[in-house]
Amino acid sequence: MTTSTSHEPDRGARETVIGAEALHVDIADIASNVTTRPVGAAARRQLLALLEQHHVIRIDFRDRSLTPSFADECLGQLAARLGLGAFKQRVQLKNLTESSKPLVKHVVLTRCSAAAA
Amino acid sequence: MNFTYASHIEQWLAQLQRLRQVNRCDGPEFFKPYHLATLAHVLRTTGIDELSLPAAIGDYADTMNLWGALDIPSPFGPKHRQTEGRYHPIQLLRDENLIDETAEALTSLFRSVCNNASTLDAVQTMLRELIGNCFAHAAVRDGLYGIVCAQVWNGGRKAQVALCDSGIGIRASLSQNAALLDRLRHANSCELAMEYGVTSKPRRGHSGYGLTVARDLMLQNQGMLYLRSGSEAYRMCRGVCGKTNVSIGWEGTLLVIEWDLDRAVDLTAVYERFPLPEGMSDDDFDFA
Repeated sequence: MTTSTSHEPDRGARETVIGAEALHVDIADIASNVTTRPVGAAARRQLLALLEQHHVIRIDFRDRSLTPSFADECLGQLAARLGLGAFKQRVQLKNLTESSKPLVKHVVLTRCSAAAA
Repeated sequence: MNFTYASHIEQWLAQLQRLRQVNRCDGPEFFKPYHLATLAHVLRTTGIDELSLPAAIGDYADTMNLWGALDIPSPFGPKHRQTEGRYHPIQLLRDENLIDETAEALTSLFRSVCNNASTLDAVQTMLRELIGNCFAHAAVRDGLYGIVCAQVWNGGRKAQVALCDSGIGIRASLSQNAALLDRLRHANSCELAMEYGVTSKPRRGHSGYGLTVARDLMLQNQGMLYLRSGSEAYRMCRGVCGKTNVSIGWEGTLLVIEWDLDRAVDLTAVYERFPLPEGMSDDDFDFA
């Protein structure tokens, strides 16, 4: 397994996605690291604020490996807050490392399942 | 080079108990990072003005910054320590903002002896998570969340990271989760902490991933992992696991991880084995 090499340096760009403008969010702009829960929680709050103004956001993780704690706090709990369907429609995840993808899938489904229970 | 035996760690911790009581103890024949991390931990707790070590190990202890970690002058004088080499000297974990930097410095030790990208990514991510857990769970009062040090033995093709904290310990920490109280009456708390999803703080959003990831990576690697807190211990070496209750308590928590530099590890496989919630399948969320 190697990390993705398809980094897309489109910082600041917007694009049309199924009729909605996707706001590009560089993870480095909202999180000083992708390691701890407190930083993950702060990033989640910023993402929720952005989602009040934009229908779709596109988070660029810049090929940085997320820790389970950060992924759970930032993305898992964001998905639980939005609901799985809305999360899939409104949050795009770009340049995740290969190892982070199954982690993100896990935290998103686990948190959404718990929220629905 | 063999993996460290759990019995050797326990014998050393017994010596440290003796050190607390009579201010002296017998040293091992071969010093490893866990000896120094735990020695620093005990000496910082007891408070000392002077430390005498046998000449044969004094230089190694100085290289590993033992005197610096104790805030007392080294008899060897000031030393310039290179961050990239065979050692990661004893580092006191005080600043949460330095977690990534510390994990990167530890991982850089392995870059010189391992060029497998997935292994390096796994080691660094695991260390970030484990060091982060010290800050999240140790519940210390003095601002010192833990002590970490490491060494690579290129000839022996092994690496060891020792991480200890002076926090409330695993049993007390897990006891904060009311759902675990019944199991804690009978279970070894260190073994319980290794389980997927076991956490002390479910209501504060924690999920209990860190030690599970470390255990699963060491299982892939056929390496060694030792977790000790209070009088309880969990050990795993080459896939063989065990738990023990020992007569001598250890304040806080000690984690020793030792791995085979020639066996690659991969976080993807670890995460893919995490169970999905009931009623959910892989098709419910994908990256296609």
